[in-house]
Amino acid sequence: MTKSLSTTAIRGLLARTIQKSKPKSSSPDIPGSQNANITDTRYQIIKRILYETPKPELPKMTEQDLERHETIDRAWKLFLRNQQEERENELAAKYRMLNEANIELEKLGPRLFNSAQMGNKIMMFPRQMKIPTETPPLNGWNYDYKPPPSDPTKDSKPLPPDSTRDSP
Amino acid sequence: MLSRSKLFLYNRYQFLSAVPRIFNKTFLHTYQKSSPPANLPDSYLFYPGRTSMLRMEEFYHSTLSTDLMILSYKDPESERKFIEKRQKEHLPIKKSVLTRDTNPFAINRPSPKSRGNKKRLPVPPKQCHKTIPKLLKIDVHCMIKEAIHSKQHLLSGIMALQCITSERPTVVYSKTGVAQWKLRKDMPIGCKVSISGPPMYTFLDKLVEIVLPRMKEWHGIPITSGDQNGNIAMGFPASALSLFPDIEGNYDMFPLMTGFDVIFNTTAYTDYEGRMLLSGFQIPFTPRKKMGRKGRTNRN
Repeated sequence: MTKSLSTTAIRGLLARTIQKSKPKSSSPDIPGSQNANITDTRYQIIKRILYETPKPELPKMTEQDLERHETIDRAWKLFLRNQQEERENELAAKYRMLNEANIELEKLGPRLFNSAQMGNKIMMFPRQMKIPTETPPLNGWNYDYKPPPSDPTKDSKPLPPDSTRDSP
Repeated sequence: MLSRSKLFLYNRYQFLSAVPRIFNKTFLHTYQKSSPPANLPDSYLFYPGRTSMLRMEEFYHSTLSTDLMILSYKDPESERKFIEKRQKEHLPIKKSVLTRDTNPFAINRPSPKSRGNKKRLPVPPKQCHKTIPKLLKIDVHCMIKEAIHSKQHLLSGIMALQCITSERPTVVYSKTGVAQWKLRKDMPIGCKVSISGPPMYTFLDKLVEIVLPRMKEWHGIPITSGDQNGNIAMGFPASALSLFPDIEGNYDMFPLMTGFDVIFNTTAYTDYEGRMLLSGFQIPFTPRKKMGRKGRTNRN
């Protein structure tokens, strides 16, 4: 009984439903009846999309296809594994150096050692830090940027629209 | 005597192929099916692979992890104190319970309640390059009040969460009933979805770059947010849902705009480290203790 729905069919259905369900300018007979009408049809459509779309046809793989797929899969996993191991080794070496330096510092004396430790300092990454992107920003470099007066103890204002980030 | 398997099956219908054969020596029962391996499209575990570069993940591996390692490094003395604090066993309410070790009748009794309802938090391992705080998963949860009188309103929430996170959410059922709100037990009242890996990083990217900068009257996550174990949570109003690009494009299709909450699950053992990690992903924190007018720290 359920018709099979393709993505184009779904889009068409939804567009027609939205058009039909928009309230007309003429006065309604029963207040709120049009609201009920709007939700009913959309929910039916959403239900069909979520639970009644047919399963996509899976590619039928021949033995050679399967072999190719397995090889590519294993190669990708191997690549990821090598990448992971490289990162781990680097981090392990850095940690070892950090630890040894700290131990050496402790032997030198208490004053330098204590000032070097984190203690109760509150450390967070600065909000101006930019996470690298593939392409440069649309608005270019903001030469007139002025950092806001940093006083974290005072009552914070709502965050302003970021001038450092490119507008959409 | 039948030997019982020590493996705890969270879901009876868990497919056996998801667990290595070494750890699962149960016999194949009728309700457990062996499914195709996860690298084939037939399996429900199959993930076709990341479709784009994951900016946040690459940033974490290249920059954040090293910085976090240095920032979260503790000298041996303070590390020892922290582990001891977590390992501390709190005094029980009844003093008679203290004789548990010598009393043979006390074996297998439930653990005694501590004075002041003090909880024992997880004990962290000794610090090394593997204990750097990392973002494990994000849970997005949506409670839909309108589902009490009309169950179909859940569909809007499910569709919205699926659009945002690209994973199908599960329905949440109420655990207790509240007569005042006409809520009964085991009633479908919300939906939740748990994302990790590539979907998580794309969701985080959308959140940080598009949604958070455009939110109105939002000061940042309160600095006191956290479950004492490194997991930070935040809530969004319904207006935030319309800011997501996946929903903005099809705004008319959603009959009901709901608020939702986002829980960042990290491997950090303290809130402080969890906040440090999230600030690295450019999530702003505010010294306010609560959201809204009541959270203001300085009056006038």
